[in-house]
Amino acid sequence: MHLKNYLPLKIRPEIDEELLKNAEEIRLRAGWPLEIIFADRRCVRFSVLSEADIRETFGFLCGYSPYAMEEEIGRGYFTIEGGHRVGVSGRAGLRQSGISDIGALNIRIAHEKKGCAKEIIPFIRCGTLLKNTFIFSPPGVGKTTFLRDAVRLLSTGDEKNPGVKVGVVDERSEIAACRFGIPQNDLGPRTDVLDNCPKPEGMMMLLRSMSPQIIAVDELGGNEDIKAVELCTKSGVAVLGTIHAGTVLEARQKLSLSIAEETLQFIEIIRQSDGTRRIRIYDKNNGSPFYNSGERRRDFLLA
Amino acid sequence: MIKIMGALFITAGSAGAISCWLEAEKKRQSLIEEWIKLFVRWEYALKCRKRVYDFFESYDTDFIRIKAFLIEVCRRLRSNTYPSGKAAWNQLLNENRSELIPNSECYEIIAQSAEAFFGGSSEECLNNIRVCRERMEQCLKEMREKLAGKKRIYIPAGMLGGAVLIILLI
Repeated sequence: MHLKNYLPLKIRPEIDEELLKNAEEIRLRAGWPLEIIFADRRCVRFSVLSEADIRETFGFLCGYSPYAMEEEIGRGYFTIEGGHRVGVSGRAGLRQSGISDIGALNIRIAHEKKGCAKEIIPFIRCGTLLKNTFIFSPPGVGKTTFLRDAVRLLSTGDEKNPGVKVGVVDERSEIAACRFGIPQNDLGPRTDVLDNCPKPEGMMMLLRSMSPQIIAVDELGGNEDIKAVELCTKSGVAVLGTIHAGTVLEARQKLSLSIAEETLQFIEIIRQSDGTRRIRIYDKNNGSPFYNSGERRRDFLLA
Repeated sequence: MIKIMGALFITAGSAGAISCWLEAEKKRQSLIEEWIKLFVRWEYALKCRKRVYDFFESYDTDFIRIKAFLIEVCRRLRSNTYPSGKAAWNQLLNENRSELIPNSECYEIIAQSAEAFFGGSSEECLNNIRVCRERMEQCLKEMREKLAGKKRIYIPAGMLGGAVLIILLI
């Protein structure tokens, strides 16, 4: 379904579908204009929204089935078809059923940008060696987009290297955007996806059942996640994950993995003021990158 | 000979009318049973956190009219042009009232069931669907009791009426 069809009925005639193709976020707040935000932080405003508009949009977004999203809404967000993440805020009643009166919605548009991770693949797969790689950046910079494309490229392979078996634990259906268990995004021919499954359990399930060479997970952070990552790496399976962090030190601290430094690397994604992305890759524990992409990555900008 | 033929026709006519009436009553009952079945399966689907679209689309029933109704509800909901699911449900229910609903009491229950399909929380939906199912079951029970009572009167009365007509004509 096109994103425009999720927006309030009164706003739809004002919005051009082409405009949404280039957008990164759509923000809806009761009493304020609808905002569409782009990669270069440009913002376009539309009519002021009422509470009824927010309720109506919420109905569209959750397929008129808010009960089905109760758990996710309790965590503050849910994922819709296409892997777009919808953040929710309003009156929180955490002990009952998450957020009851919704005052604002933020739709973070998932982008399938094929080829954006091409640059990092040689660092993840060095001949037959697969390195444990963790992509980090603050929220909204493009970790999941990078991860998705890296999975696709690793799974597909190229002229020199055959594809590898990749297992994806997609806890929030953002990587693969599965529908009835079938990925809607292109993740390559050798990718098995465990949709809507908690990361620690999912990683163990994939490890035991699908014999992956790489396990990909989004947004690592909890202690259980770290334990599962360690178990995977000690079982001969490489991990490709993302993590919210501002610096490599923060990322290292968050993960605090007890695995060999030689098999570990961190990739930082940096957003430039014009919306382009740069990459820095760190391996040794010294806080300085051994690779710094010189050119600005325009493939993140859809123009 | 003509008198015998006439008598046979009248007997067959009376039996046919009674059987038609019984058949119509049974259809109404099975329609209610089908709605109860839908409510029971929805209770289970709610526990599995199934979305209303997915449930309606995958719902399997021999009642073509109910299946068509559910598919149409899905189609309208997917167009995202209704302010609420309840509005789409009730609009379509009104359009198909004669085909889908046996009586006014059932209409009220089925219209109310929108709260169970499109409620805000699973607890609210579960409570609503249970109430709807119980009311529907009560409705079916009363209908069966009424039918049994009517059968006791209508069948002998019909046959007797036919016999009287035969005697009168002969």
